Amino acid sequence: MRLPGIGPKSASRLAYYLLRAPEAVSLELAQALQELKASTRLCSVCFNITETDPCPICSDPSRDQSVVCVVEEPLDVAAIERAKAYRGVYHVLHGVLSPINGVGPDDLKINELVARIRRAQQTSTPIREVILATNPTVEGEMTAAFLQRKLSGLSVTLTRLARGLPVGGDLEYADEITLSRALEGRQPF
Amino acid sequence: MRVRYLSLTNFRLYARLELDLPPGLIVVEGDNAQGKTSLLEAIYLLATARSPHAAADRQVIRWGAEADGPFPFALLRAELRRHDGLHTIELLIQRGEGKRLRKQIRVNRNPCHASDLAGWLRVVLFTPSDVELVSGPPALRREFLDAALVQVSREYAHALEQYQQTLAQRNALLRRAMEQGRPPDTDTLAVLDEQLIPAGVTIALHRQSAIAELNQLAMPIHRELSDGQEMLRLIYHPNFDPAHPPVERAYQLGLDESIAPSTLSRSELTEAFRQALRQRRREELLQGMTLVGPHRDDARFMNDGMDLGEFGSRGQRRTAVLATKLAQIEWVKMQTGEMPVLLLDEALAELDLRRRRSLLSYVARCEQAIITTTDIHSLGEELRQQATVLHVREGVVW
Ligand SMILES: [Zn+2]
Repeated sequence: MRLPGIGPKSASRLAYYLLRAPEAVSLELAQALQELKASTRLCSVCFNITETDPCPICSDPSRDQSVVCVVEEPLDVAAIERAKAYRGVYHVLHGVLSPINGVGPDDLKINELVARIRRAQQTSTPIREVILATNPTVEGEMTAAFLQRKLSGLSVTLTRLARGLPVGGDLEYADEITLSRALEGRQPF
Repeated sequence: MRVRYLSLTNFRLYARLELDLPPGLIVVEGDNAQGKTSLLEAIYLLATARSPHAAADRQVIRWGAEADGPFPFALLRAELRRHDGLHTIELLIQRGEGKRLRKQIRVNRNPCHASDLAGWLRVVLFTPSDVELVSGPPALRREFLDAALVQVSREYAHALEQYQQTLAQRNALLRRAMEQGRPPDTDTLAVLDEQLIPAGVTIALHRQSAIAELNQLAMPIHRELSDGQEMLRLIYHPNFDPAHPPVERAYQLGLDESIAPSTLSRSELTEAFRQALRQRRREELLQGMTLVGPHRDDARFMNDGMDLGEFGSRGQRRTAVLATKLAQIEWVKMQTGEMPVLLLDEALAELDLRRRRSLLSYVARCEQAIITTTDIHSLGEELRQQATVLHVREGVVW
């Protein structure tokens, strides 16, 4: 098994540490991992990882439910929340379109986004704006353009995060100031 | 501009190299397979982020570097002196998952895209295999144009990167659809086309004007090299340009207006590319790959209306390439205001006296030129006197 961000060197370091540590440490870790899996699920509204459904963000009455920020991964939500500049809600796609990696539209939470917007349009709090906050990579741009086609019939304003995100383009690694600026400077898409 | 300092770690034969490079002419002397060419290759890679020859990325990382850790890497670093000051550019090549090599770039210590490396250092490379440029496969001529253009136009470098990544996605979509025997998702394909087209058109526009400009500069050089006997024409048309037949058949037309430079605008080219994609859609679905676009372009070298790639003698081809590369030096100067660094890999060996003299007159005008040779005495007394001589043996330079 491989964990993201852990190369062979770190992996062997962890293994040696656990081998030398008292058994209780390993048991504690195993239990924590089990609980993580057992106690978390996806929010049925935004598909972020959560312990409660709907998640704390979706059920927060002070958040603006009419603005939805579409991101690739749950970690992107965490990054934007750290910047403390955004008061709307999210939609997590769980990936980007990538024919090379065999990822098509049905592998992402795209139909769920369309359904969510349709549903909201019939309530007193329709969704006004959808911010396409996929990364500025070829796959991220492609996914944003795909969403634009899918959402074009619905009466929502589409915006895209302003440029100026760092190289490699991952939101996850953007600092808070850059992210706040990117959010403030978002452009019609 | 010039390279002031070169540092190589685990690059080909070089375990570690720290080298001050003086201005002017530098002669690198050594036997074959001792690391002379790798020195030029390193500088070329730093200028273009591309490999200068077909051996491509194989064995770029020094054999044996695996012993240093689980993810072996090669690190190339150069300090440049340009009209706008001192700059440091770095290229880290790392073996990642599988066999793939990952390239990471830093310019003045800031990480950036591969396409952002382009334009800091500019080089023109002369090698004994240059003559293949005329008669070899179209990919060699596209590579020549790409490597030349990325060094002078960041817009081109970005468009090329965008195009290649989009093309890879599009090909994957078509191939999967073919394998699964059902049509690809139409929205995904449409989105990919909308990204492919503008990038492809940018590439075609730049290639078109580069060829026209290079041709303008190469003609007088070529005339002189051939005693005023022959007239060189470089021709290129985007392969989706409806106004012109495919270039590979152009030699049958002879030299007339029908191969004059295309004057299609961006919007016309955009429409042409879109239409070409539409026309070949069925074929693309059957073959599972993208069949039109700049990745299938060709350019040709014509001499008095004759295609040199098909009918030229070895001597005629050599003269055409030399004229084109000398024109590239002028072109870089014209585009950027600065002379490039010349890299001459055994390039003097096969030239007669006149062509050699012509090449050396350009060497004299550049701030820096690096020549490799197995036999320093073949260079002549006068040249040796002006040059800084470096010796290379088994990846050690002194
Ligand atoms: Zn939620």
